[in-house]
Amino acid sequence: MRRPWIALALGLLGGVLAFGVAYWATTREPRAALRGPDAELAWLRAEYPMSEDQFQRVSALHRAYLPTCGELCRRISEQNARLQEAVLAATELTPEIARLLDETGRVRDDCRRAMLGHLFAVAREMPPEVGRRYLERMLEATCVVEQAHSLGEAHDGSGEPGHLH
Amino acid sequence: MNETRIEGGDGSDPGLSGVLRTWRVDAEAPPRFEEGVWRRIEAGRVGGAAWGPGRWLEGLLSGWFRRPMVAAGFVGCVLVVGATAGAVSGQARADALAVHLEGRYVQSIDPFSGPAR
Repeated sequence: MRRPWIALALGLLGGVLAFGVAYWATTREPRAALRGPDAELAWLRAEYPMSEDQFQRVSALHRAYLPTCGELCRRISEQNARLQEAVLAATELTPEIARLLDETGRVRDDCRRAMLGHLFAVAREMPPEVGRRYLERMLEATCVVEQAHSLGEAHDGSGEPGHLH
Repeated sequence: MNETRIEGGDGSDPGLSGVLRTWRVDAEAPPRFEEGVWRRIEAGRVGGAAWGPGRWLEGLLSGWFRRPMVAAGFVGCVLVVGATAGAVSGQARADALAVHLEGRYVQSIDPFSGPAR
């Protein structure tokens, strides 16, 4: 009389196993990428297919750019600290604050130029269509190009793109 | 239990009725047979009262799984449903991990990108 329960349990166990196998198979690649030492590059290769040679060149570009990025981060951080200190010590827009704002803008432009140069270099190493897709996505995800829609939303509240006055 | 209908078993066949009246069973019942029968009847009463829905479901499943096609269909459906659910939830998890990894990549190349980006 226990046979139907055993059949039911085995069937359900099979379903659970099927769930586990399918889940494991679909998440295997990103989980492996996450565990690896170069998770970002593993993601880049999975998302933007390229040959082994191209990937090696992209990896070399990435590693060469990291110290530059670190230096730019340091400059931004220092500049922001100087600007914040000057603003908090004043009660109006002083020539010193104006000068620091100009400097901040210059640091920002330097960062954008360096980052854009890196994005172009990486995209050139990829197959043309893939490189194009990479550039489009990175322009959205990074601050190389200001996202105008956020400015439009902040000013008119309509959610329409564009800086409206 | 298969039931065999005997023509004349209701007494309409005097010949058969006579034979049945003379029929004697000579075989010995096993030791404590009667006690065993009462114990099984009692267990059936108690079990039936406590496990009504369980017994009902067990009967239903017995009926289903007696037919190989139904049993195979059940197992097939469960496997397909399990695999589909696993693939869908796995894909959702894979997408979330990809977004997370993209954020880490952007953070590594964008000096303005904070940890929350």
